[in-house]
Amino acid sequence: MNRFTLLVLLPAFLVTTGSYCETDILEDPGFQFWCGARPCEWEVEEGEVRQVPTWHDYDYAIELVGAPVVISQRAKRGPNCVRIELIADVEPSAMLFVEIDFDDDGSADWSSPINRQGFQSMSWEIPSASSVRTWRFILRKAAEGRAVIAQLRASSECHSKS
Amino acid sequence: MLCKSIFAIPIGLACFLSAAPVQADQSFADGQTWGFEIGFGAGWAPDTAYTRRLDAFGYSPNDGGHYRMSFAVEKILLPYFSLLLQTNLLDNQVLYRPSGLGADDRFDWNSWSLDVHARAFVPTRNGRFRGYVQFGVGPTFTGSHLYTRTSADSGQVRHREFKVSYNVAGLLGIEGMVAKHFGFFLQGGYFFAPSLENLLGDRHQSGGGVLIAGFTGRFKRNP
Repeated sequence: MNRFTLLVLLPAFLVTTGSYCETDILEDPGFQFWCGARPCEWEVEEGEVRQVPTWHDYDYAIELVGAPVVISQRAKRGPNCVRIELIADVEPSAMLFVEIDFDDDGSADWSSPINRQGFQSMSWEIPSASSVRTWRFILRKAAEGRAVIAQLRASSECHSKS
Repeated sequence: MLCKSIFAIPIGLACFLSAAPVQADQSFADGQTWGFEIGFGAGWAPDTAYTRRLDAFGYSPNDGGHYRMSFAVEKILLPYFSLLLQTNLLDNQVLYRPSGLGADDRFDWNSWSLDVHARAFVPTRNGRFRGYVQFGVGPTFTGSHLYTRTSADSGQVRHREFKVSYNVAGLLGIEGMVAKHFGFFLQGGYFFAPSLENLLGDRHQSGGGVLIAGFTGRFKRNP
């Protein structure tokens, strides 16, 4: 097998065996895209939100104002395992939760409180049943208090099937 | 106020040098009183609250930001003493963050100093080599760029910022003349240069350790 053949076959092999990285399953995980007063890619289901700067005037985050506030986004696809990385500045009194609604049936199937102050990061790895077809990621604020989210990233695990 | 007074230092130096009496040390470089230095090397800006905050916000540094440059003009004023107008590339870093859509977000900055340095030196007996210690102070100029997207449909938008602060420096070096007007030098030291500050109150220090090597040119011997 000559070098040219290897150059052609190797990429084809990597693609067909799943050895590639297409990880993000949420649009705009950093809340950078705003359509007026609302984030373009996130649904504001309840309450008020606003765009706020974080470490830089032009690096944005979303503040959940007052209570209750609920925002969500349905994932582009439903992998078998998701890694969630969240960066937030949240007062414990705000009672903020990150939730996942498998199959988007209106009820949260997984939930975790967020009480990190000073833009600290948190992460989780969440497996799902193979029958789950869709994932909806939800941020739910239940009480008054500062709650600023700089990032809610959800990514599928990247691994080779070979 | 600090920034305005710092600007006056290089301007004052230029006036001072032009009017300085010629009392140069005859023993180094055949008594040539003017010199220039061009150097390249490496530097290590410290890990700071500012860079740790960028890390917390998902930015990862791109390797290769450790190169440094130095340019200086020297006037020997007294035996064993000279003043320099010196500029150094103190810090240049590029960081990327996955945007989740298209090109990664990017944040980069460059910091340059423009200092007046006072140098005390000791030449060898034959005048071809010298060792020196120098201390400097002056303004630091930092330009930063944030490349990010503001909508899913548009390309990246660049946001520029420019900041002036100060720096102080201490350096040790050696220099050797290999020809009448030409030589080499090696110098190392430390710069303290508080520069960028984010909205959360974290400050970056653009200085750190440097090691510079380069060549020198000498001219204009005393009459």
